[in-house]
Amino acid sequence: MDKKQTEEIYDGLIQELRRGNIILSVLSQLKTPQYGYSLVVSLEEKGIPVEPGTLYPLLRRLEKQNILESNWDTNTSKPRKYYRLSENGKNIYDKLCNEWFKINNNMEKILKSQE
Amino acid sequence: MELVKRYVYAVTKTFNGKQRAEIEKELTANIEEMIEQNKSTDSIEEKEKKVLMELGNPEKLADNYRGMKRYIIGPKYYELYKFVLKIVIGAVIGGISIALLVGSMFSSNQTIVDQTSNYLSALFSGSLQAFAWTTLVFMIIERKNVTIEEDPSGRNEWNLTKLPQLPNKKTEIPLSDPIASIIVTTILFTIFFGLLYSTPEIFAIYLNVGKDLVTIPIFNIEVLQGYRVFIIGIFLISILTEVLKIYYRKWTLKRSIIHSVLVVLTTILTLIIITDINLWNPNFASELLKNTKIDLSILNNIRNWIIAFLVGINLFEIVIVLSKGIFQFNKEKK
Repeated sequence: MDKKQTEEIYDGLIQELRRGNIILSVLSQLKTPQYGYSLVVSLEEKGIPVEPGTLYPLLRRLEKQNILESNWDTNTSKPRKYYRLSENGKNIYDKLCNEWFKINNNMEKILKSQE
Repeated sequence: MELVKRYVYAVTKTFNGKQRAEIEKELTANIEEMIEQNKSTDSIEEKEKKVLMELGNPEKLADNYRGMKRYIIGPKYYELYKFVLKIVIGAVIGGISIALLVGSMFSSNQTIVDQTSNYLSALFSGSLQAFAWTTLVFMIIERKNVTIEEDPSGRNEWNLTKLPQLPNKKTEIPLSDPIASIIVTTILFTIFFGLLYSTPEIFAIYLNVGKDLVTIPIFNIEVLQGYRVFIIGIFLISILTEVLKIYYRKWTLKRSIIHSVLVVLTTILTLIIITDINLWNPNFASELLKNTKIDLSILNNIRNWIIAFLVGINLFEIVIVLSKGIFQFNKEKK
């Protein structure tokens, strides 16, 4: 297998690995309302870059699933759609967090025991 | 802003109504925000371009908004589609060849060059038609399936009882059966349709009266040609039923009912055509009597016989298929 192919496969695996964490990272930022682009920036600053083309549709989808709620802020010159966790979303987020810590814990054990 | 508007349109054009308006509003706001936050010294146009490139292919973005890809013919049916397409186009080519060969024997006033160019253009338009109609049938199948999978009530949730039964000789559909039907149907239909438009005078009875050859047309050709939509419809539904059989591979009650409905539909369409009095040459009986002294008041009965035959055959098929479906249903209940 040539080098380029190996790299492509590796990139794919990394993406796969990150994809699972995107939703949790997004939810973690939405205890206070944010609009699409501010969320892109704040996630990037925290070292979890998410492409806008992935994030904007994701926000809509999470809103449809009643995890997020939104409202349009029309007070400023530019209208912005702010998203934040709904009550239901807060519950789900807490549970997901617990789950993630569990997985993280176990993964660490597995990976370290191999060394 | 021209580029931005075009980009937003490219994303939202496949959405409808409220959803479209919402995505449009939000996406535009986000893009404007992204442009504004770019504090570099680039011109507005440059900033626009950068932002749009960052968002990437609008079709992909639309897929993300939709949450699923859209297909004309999805991966689930694609193999079957290719398979059927080959059969149908092959059968159309075969059918046109036969039709024009037969036709050329009856109209000798055409040169070889004319006949060849007729043949080639018929092959071309025939294959194109075959391709278009087959694709249409599969588009319908694809769309129908999408609605099944989107069942939100969870009734279609998989469980062990949904595992298919091991093949049973009695309810199995042998692959050869629908394939043969598709080939025969397509060839016959192509021959019929080809003759109907190239040499419609062929639908006649040929008599040697003394030294003369007398031809008596059976149909009123213009009326018959006027039924082309019906005829194509009958053809399409017949092909659809056979394609479904290839897809099913096994009868169940539900499938046998769908099949029966389709058979009834083709029968009704055929009957509508046959029972149209104007379809038949009104002078047929009198001309035949004049030339052969055969009194064909019985000829009126021939039409009734055709109808009875048609209804009988289709009824027979429905009974057999339904009985297979019911057999399978009872077996699954046990």
